Amino acid sequence: MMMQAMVEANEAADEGLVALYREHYVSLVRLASLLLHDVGTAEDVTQDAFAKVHLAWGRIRDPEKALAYVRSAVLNGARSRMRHLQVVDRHRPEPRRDTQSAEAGALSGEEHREVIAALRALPVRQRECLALRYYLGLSEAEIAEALGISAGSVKTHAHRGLAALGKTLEAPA
Amino acid sequence: MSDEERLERALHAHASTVTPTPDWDDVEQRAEELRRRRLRRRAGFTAVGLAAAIVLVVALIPLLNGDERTTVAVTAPSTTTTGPTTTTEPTTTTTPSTTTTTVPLPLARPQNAIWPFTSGASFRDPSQAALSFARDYLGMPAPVVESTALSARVVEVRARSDRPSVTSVTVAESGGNWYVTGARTRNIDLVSPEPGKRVHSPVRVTGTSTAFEAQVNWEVREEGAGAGRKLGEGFFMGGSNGQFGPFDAQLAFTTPSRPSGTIVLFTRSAEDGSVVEATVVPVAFG
Repeated sequence: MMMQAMVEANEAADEGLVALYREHYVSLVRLASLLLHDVGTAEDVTQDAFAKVHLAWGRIRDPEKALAYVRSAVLNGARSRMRHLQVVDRHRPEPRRDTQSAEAGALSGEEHREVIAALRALPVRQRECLALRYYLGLSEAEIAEALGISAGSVKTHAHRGLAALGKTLEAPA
Repeated sequence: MSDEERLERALHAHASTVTPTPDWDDVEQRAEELRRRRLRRRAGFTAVGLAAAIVLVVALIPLLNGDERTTVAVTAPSTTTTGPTTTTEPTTTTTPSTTTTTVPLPLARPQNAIWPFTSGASFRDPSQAALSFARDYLGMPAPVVESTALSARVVEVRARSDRPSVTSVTVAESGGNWYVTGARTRNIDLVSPEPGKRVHSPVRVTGTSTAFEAQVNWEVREEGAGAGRKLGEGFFMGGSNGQFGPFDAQLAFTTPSRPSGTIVLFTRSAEDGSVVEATVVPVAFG
């Protein structure tokens, strides 16, 4: 009896998580792809994040916070991949190309590609703050929670990131 | 267009090109794999923890045993403090926290005792007596007790915990106090003179030994003379490199002012010159 109740509770919880997955999977992969070099890695990071949340689902008391939890897991995963990729890149003779760069370039235009390239050249925290603010449209408080830093730091990172981005885009190619 | 607008447009434009395919089954597989990995890691930690606990317990056993011995040694003097008060003997200064007490009338001292000196401390614990002898009489740098065989009245001591040689210190108990009556290392086997013999300068010593570069050092000391105070000193040759060889030497010393003393034969460390092992016999002068 008790066992059955537990199974049912688990299934209900799983349903909640599956719904969250269906609704936010694409936007989270896109967020990760803005921070990372290629879509494959972004997908991988997002799947891993959902797997972690799946395991921790029983401990997540507030379903309202579930999305914030998954988002943090994606950002943490992306950050750790970025560090790894930076090390790999340093030992690569040719600069890495975005796996979808040809197609993406054709679709989003030369200018968009320049902006994305400039964004990816920024320090990790600045990159994260700008992506969360201007892609997901999160508030400073939400970004602070997702990244585990203070709202003041978010403001500073976003401000510096934006200034650096403007400078790069103004400079003659 | 502001930088913020350019950025926002570029981000959405780029993001719209990304069209991933959701795969929930893959998430479940990854979750299962992650769960297994965590379980394995937890099992690993548990195994390491258990191993550490076992090592700790094994390491603590001798310490706990040592503690018991210390407790006995520490409680022993406190019983002596009650002695003088009940039997109204002369006041005795005692320190309950140490194993040594000052004894004004060493009447029970054995005839052949060479340590502690008549004016020195007394020992309620044979190991403490042997260690004090090794350190203060022989000049060993950091002596440790290797084993105690009280039925044979022997405490085996190493000059330092990493020294290969063992010096067997013979002890005797009298009136509740322990005294050192001699010492012997198997590497320096003194045949004559026998303990307690009457000798005068020069005294002939014979026996067998093995030592680094065959060298055995000697000292003749009179009663009450600790490390460094001697009537005569020198060295002679025996065997070396683990091969025992005979020695036969004449030891000359100045006229003693006391009726008894010791012949101390010892070797020094090739590494730092400190005393490694010793054979000590008590002798009478005259």
